Amino acid sequence: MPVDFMRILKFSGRYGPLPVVLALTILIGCTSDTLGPVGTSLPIDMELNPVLTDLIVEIQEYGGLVVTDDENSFEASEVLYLGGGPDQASSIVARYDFSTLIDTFATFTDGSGDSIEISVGWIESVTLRLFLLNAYEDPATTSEKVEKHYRVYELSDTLVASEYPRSDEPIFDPSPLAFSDEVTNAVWIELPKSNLVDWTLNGQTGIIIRDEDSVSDKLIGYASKELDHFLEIELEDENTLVGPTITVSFAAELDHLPMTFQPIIDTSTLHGIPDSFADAADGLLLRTHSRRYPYFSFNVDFPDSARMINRAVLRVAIDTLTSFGPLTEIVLATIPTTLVSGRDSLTIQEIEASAVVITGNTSIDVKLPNTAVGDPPEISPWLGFDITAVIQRQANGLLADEPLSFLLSSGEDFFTGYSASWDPDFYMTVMNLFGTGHPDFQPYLEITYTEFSGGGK
Amino acid sequence: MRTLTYGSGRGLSGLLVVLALVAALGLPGNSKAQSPFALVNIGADVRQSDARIAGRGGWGLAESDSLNPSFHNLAGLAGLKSTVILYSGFGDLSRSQTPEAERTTSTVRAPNLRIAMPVTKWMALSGGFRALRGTQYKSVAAYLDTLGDGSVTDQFLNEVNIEEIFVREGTQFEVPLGVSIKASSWLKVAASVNLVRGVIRGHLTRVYFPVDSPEEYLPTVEMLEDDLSGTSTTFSMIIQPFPRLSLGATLTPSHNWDIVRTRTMSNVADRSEVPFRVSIPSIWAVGGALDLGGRWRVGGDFEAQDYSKFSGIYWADTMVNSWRVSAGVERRENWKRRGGLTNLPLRFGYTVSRWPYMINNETLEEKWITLGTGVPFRRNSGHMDVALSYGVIGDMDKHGIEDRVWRFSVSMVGLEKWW
Repeated sequence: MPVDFMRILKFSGRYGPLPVVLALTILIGCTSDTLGPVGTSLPIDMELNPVLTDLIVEIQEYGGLVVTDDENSFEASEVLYLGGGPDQASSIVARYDFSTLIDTFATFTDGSGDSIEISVGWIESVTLRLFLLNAYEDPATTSEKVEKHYRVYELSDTLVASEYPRSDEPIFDPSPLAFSDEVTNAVWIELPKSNLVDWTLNGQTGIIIRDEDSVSDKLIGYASKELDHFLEIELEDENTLVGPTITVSFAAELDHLPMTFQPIIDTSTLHGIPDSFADAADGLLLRTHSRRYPYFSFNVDFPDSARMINRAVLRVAIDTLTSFGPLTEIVLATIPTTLVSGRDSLTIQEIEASAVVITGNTSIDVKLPNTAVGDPPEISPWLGFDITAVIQRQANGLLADEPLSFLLSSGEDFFTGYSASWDPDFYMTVMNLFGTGHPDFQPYLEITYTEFSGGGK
Repeated sequence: MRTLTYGSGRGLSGLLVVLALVAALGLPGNSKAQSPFALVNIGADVRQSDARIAGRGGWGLAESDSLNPSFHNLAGLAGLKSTVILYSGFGDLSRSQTPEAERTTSTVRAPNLRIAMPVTKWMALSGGFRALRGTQYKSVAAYLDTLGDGSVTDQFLNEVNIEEIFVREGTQFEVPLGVSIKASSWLKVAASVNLVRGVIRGHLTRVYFPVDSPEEYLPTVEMLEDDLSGTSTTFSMIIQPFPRLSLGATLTPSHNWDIVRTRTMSNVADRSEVPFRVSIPSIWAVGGALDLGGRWRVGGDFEAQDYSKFSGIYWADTMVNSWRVSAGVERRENWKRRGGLTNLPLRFGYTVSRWPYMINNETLEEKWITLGTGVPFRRNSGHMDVALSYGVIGDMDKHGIEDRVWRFSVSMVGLEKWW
């Protein structure tokens, strides 16, 4: 006899569906209230340990690294910096090759048809031009930043680019070649024609452009001959030559268009800007353009007992009076201590190969502490980096064989997700972080954790 | 009259499909919950034979009916004439109250799936799955606290609202493999080897909600898992000294469970694993059934397990002798033509039991009144039974919590001559 199971639900005739309807109503129709305190008074088998917070201030490893780029030398920087302040000083040095002028003059003839040689009389003007980067034209600070007192001198010795940046300025003839107090973004400085003739005939050691007695102490950026980001300056047209150019205008009777010369070498001295501190007690410096990245590790003593890290934050306080640049481009990464320990310099390529980014511009936590503790927060704000994951790895003993240090850097291209808008070698950012010797604002780790209750029945 | 057609070889597999559907309904996700008393110790007793037994209060040790077989006492399966498959389950709607709060929860359990088959006229084999004890409840406590150990500057201490959520869930179950023998016209005996397994998991989670702060703290989560295994044996018998009187008894001697207790913590690459052994006291039970004449009969069971002899873990500190008494009356079904509702079986009963552990240093009692009925399939090829029970667990004054539970039990039994 065939089976018809749909009839199971009808059972025996007239008694059919009632029990099933009732059963399904109870089985399906019931839901539970949301969680509540009922049952919390019972002595359960589990109990969590209290949450504790440790502050770790003792630095174990520290170093201020000069970071170079194997693929892009400092000489190839797109920006030249000028400033004459006590804390931020840099001059621009450049060297030119005017030998083509001799060839040009060889094509000229005087009124009698005789060839002529270069001389002051055939030169109308010699003009040095600087291209101010638009970023330094912020309306709010324009009057402060562009009011520079430019002074141009001739170098005593031939300019060698590989010597820069350096801690002092090169020796130069103290008699200025020219000066200008331009306040516009396009700086035009007239140079002596006689010097041009001399440079053309005898070669040039180079010039130095200094900022002397300026109202502003700030560093200002100008285009170098390598500038590719043309939107950062105001160009007349696509053929405009950039950098600290020298334009030579000829006497009218020669009927020749002016000639513009880019330097064969241009660079910044950066002789008076903060450099890395030798001791973590004095501070930690993070600098871009010519990179200085600090690394450090804390003396964290994790006990044998396991613990869960609820939150771990690296806090550093920034000295806003001497720092400049966007905070959001700071990136925190880990780097093997064995790679950096005892070294003064590192290449970007080594960082790319070894560093692991933890967090950066999208998660920087600006913690403003209780103002009663120290200076007002607007003077010394704290920056916080959430490093929970790496501290948990450390607590788990996973880093015992490969101790890691923290590396404060800028948003390098290879830090996926934290790449800065501009390559760190473009603009200059200086972040002076208070050191371990500061009474109120020393860097520290804040680790909030729960001990694992561990074994036992 | 339309009737159920059930009795071919396809019938048994079809029934399994229906059972699977019911089983699926028995897993309603987050609505699962049980008595909060199951949050502690060895958990709540979730054994259930079938809705027919449940409907009359839980007695059935003296039950032996080849047309209406029960697995309550395996000795009753001796003399079985058909292969029998049983599926039973129940749904609870519980109202748990404390002086400060109350919570309604629902749960569905399918604690019994059994099969038995006759080998000879006097011997049957049985097997299946039976849930023994279970625990399924969540609770949450909320309080305000401050993170930190007091050694740091006050500015770094965060005031946080904390929610502590505890979840305990799991089932201890057994796979009983039994043989039932009809020794004589008045004596049936059975023995089973019960393979016991089970996992009970506890999760304690603490979540932090900082007050007036954007700080985010990872929740603290600890997990505890008891993975248990063991073997027990059960001996049972039914005697019928007089035509209207039958008596039954079962004994499961004391045995051991091996438990591996594992504690883990989220994000922590460490765990603690502690193996230990607990001693489960012997369970013994006796029962009787008396035919009152006509369709009526009365019966009762008594079961005891001296959990004060339990040992192996600190649970023992609060354990006591547990027992259960059940009694009830049954009016069996009738096949009278046009009998209407009067043909239905009718059952009612009462059960009182004591849990094996104390709460607040007070013994914990559970009381049920039950009412049941059922519908036989055509040609005695099985039946479906339902029972409605109302129970009270605990006492507000003594335990601080009291449960009031509505339970709806359903079971289906199919009989099939498969050879």
